[in-house]
This record gives sequence, C-alpha cells and structure tokens, in this order.
Amino acid sequence: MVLEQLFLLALVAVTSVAACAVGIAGLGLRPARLWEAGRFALQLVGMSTLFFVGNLATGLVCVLAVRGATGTFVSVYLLNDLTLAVLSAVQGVCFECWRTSGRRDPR
Amino acid sequence: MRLTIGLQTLGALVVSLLLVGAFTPAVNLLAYWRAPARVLGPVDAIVVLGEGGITESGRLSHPSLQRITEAIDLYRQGLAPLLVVSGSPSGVARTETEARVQIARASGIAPEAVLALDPGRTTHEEAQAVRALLEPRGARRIILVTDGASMARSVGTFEKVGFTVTPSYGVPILRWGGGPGARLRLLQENLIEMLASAYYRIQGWT
Repeated sequence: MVLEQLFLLALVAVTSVAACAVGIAGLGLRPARLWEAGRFALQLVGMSTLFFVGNLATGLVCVLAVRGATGTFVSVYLLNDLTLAVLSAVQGVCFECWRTSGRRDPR
Repeated sequence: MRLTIGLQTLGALVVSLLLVGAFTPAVNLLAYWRAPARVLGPVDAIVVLGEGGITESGRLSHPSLQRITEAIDLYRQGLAPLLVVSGSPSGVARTETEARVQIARASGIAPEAVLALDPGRTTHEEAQAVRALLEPRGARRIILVTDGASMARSVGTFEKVGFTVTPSYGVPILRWGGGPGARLRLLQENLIEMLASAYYRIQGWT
C-alpha cells in the first residue's frame, strides 16, 4: 500500500520535472515565473472552493425550503455528487481568470 | 490584494487537506475516533437500516446487500431473537425492505423473527418507526447495522428515542490501510456525516 502511494507521488513528481524541462528548454519559459504560477493555481483552487461551498450552502437551503414549504421530501444526498465539485471547479477557474484578466500578463 | 492572498491561503489549505487525507492515515484515525464502541453481546433485536435502496433493475444495491448479510450473520450468531429490516423508498415495484426480507427468509430465518418496517426517508424517521414497532414488545436493547461513517449519528438518534444501542462491529478496529482514493472517499463520507451530525444535534434528534 505504501508502494502504491509512493508510486503515485513519484509519477506526479516525474511528470512535473518533465513539464519544467519542456517549459524551460522547449517553450522558453522563465523559471522565476513558476512560483507565481503556483500561487495563481492556489488562487484557482481557493476560488473553486468558494464556489463549491456556495453551491452546497445554496443547495442545502433549497432542499430545506422545499421540505418546509411543500412537505415533499428531497434528500440532501442529492448534493453528494462529484459533478457538483467538477462544475464548481469550472466556475471557480472561469471567475478567477475573469477577475484577474486585467492584471495578468497575456503572454 | 487581500482577496488574492485569502484565496491563495484557502487553496493551500484545501490542497494540504487533500494530500494529508490521501497520503497519510489521518483519515483512518478520524474514522476510528468518530466510531462509537460497545462490547457486542446478546440484545433484544438486530436493526438493519436502509442504505442504497434498490437499483433500477429491481435488485438490491451493493451496500444494502452488504448490510443485510451482516445482519443475518449477527442473527445466526444468536445475538438476538428478532431481525428488524428497514429500507429506503423506491420508485420500482418492490421496496428495499421487501427485497431484504426475502433474503433473510431465504437464509433460513423464521418468518416470525423478521419484522419489516415501512420505508423510512431519514434515520430519525427510522428510529421512530423502530420504537413504535419494538416498544410494545419490550425490546430496548438493539444492535444497529449501518455503514461505518453514519454509525455515530445513527447510534445517537436511536439512543435519543430510548434504545440502548450496540454498533454492529462492537468495538472498532483501527485500520491503517486503504489507497489514496479510498482514503479520500472515507474523508468525504466523514465530512458529510459530521455535517449531518451537526444538523441532527440542532434538530434535537441526537
């Protein structure tokens, strides 16, 4: 089991190093910008998390409102779906790119 | 600028949580810590809660089948004279409860020892239905069969309506195993259950 975990981590490490090499040697990217890119990636994750929490909270309020207003039972487990996380990530990436589009270097 | 730093911090926290969740046994410890522990012994009834329901093809879902099998095993060990079978509502011809009762009877359990509940939509509803069914029989001590993550909330809910509850596994065993994907699923289940437990506490159901 430990080997399985190490394999996955090693796999990602190897492809990351390869991507760095391709970026620097092949695409002429500056290594100094990698740190900035990492921080922007965290920003995207952060914004996606906000959308995910927002979607969950809104969904929860809707489910409880329908239950309270109509007496119809709607399961909260409707929100327990991978699709919601994926769509929240798309929302977060899109919104954050839009929010920062004026500030980031278009190159 | 402040929002940007906040987003970066939140992103770093989420990535850290995912890495810790997937690649360390922290989630296993969390699941172990949340699991109620009682010594398994003779009780008045074994109660198996609804889980997963019926598939579109009319068959029991895998988790539902696992739970009824576990309950039948406990019954065969002679831990209780009654087996109470619950199930979720379903949109197909037969209900989860009916399918589970069939399996219990086909396993050789006497029909009078198997009690079927009407489909329950929540654990709280199931607890009330089980109380209505077992109270006239004087049954107060039960073994509860449900999935590991929801056991803490389920035990609390049944204790709230007056039962003395033993989880089906008795005393939990700390398991360190599981690949990264399995650990993330365990993390997801436990986070959902922690939210559900908070909701149940607010409602006064546990």
